[in-house]
Amino acid sequence: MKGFPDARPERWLGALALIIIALISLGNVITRYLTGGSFSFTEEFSVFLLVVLTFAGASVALRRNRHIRIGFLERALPPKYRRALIVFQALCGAIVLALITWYGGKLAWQEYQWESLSPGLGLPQWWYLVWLPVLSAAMLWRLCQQTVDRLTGRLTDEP
Amino acid sequence: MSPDVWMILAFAGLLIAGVPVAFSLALSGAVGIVLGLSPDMLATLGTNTYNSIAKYPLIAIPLFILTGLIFERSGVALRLVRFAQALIGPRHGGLALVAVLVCMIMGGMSGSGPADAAAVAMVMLPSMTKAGYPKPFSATLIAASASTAILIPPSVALILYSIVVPGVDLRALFAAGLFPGILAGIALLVPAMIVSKRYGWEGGIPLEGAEQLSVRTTFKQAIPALFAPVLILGGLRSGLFTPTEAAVVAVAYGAIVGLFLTRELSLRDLWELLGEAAIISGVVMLIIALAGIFAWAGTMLGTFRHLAEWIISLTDNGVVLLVLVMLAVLVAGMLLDAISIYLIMMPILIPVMQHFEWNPVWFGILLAMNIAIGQFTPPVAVNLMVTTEVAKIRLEQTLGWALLFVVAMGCALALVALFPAIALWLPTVLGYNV
Repeated sequence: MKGFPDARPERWLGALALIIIALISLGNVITRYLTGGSFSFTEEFSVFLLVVLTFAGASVALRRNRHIRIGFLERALPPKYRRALIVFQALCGAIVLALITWYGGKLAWQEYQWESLSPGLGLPQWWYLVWLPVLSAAMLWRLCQQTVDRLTGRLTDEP
Repeated sequence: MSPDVWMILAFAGLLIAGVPVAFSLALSGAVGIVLGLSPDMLATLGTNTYNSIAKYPLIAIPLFILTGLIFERSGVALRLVRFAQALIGPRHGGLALVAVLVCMIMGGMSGSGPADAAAVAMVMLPSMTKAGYPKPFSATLIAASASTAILIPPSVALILYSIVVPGVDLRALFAAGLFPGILAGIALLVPAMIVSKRYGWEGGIPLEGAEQLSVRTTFKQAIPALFAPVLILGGLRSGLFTPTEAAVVAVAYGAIVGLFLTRELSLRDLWELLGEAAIISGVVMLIIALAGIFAWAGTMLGTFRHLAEWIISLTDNGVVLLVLVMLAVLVAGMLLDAISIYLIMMPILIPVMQHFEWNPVWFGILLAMNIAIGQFTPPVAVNLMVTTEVAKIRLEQTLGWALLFVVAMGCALALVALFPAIALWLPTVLGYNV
């Protein structure tokens, strides 16, 4: 995608998560045919990587304003109101992301204090959970960047 | 007003205001929680978001998205087009036939429509225009045929349906989607052929300077592409792979084809495609993650139950209600994508479906066909936007053609609704639980 702003760290993180998921799954298929057994404990790790992939990818998409939405209203509105609408959209997104960051952080903190371990691999649960608030905070930052770009006209709303 | 109503109104208002679907779902869910339950319960925004996507079957979604991207970048579409062209030869409507066929085969490799539409439009539009087809016609035809991708397995939308609706076997859904998908393709082809013949687009004589394609050489080049759907579907059928495994095998196969057979893919491209797949998956999966909050709030408040009871109370006649549901989904399909529609509507429709004892597999396929139609119906037509962009025409120019194909595919939908066996025969024969 040329001409779009990039969010390189998240894009790399997402690509990395996806390639590890692919390699683990492929390894699983191969070993199952060779040995008959599977290493099902990897499921926990793949699922965790899926969460990382989702939020990292969503962060890049947010920076580029590529999330699925209905764009009628802002195309219909005169420029003056359009700016107000963009600010409103940004506020709505910011509330959601702030809530997720706060409660996700709280959740990870609780798991850290309780020292709970994951059922499959026996790793500290907070190692997994902490990525949720971290990445949604990153999304919050990308949302700010995107909104500034849209307000100054550096990022157009056309799909 | 009750918290139910506030939640639904908030959701509708946010959507109209152009807030991304994912955020609209989460925020209206939060509104419902604060007003109807207790603000403390907002803590679900942490757990629910994580748990909604931390599900093993969902891993198939980014993998199938990656498969589609890899096959498109590997130059597979072009090879398929050349083979189909050599096979069919120049005749009235020949290229229209090629376009529909290639869209359907591409749909058998990737899981979503817009990507297929872009790939086929880029390869086909120039030659179709040269042969005399008007651009609006070609763009609409490709957009419409690419929409069959959500019916023809593997389909990202059907993967999600099998997760949202309890007790539905994904393999049964995949098998059930095949014939309705082919039927939809045929339904598009019939008016396309009639129109091409009537206006005399693409004569019987080859164009000046057009290269002669031999069936044998083009077939050889197309073999790797044609083998991909066989690998995916055959692997699923034989029980060799689970859907997730089929997805990863397809990724590996696509990478090998692109890197070593067509050699149009470099390792650098592959890394870029991984990033691109991560972004597209992020868009799709964020909706799934945040729809979890909406679904949780709706269930706790009883909103979905109330809505379902209201729908059931509309009429005792199952057929009338089915028509109403289909119309509602069609309208939704014009505005939103398949994933969002399944997530928003299924919690409400599952009780309705159970009340009238509709077969969940058949119902899922009907919904998918409906959503497919919505993907090329203006004003918000994801597939059509992609193809008109490639053709460099305005969306409004395609209106007449879009209407023609909507009617055509509507007929295919009606056929599947009247004869459920079109969908259910294959999964029954294959021995899946339907």
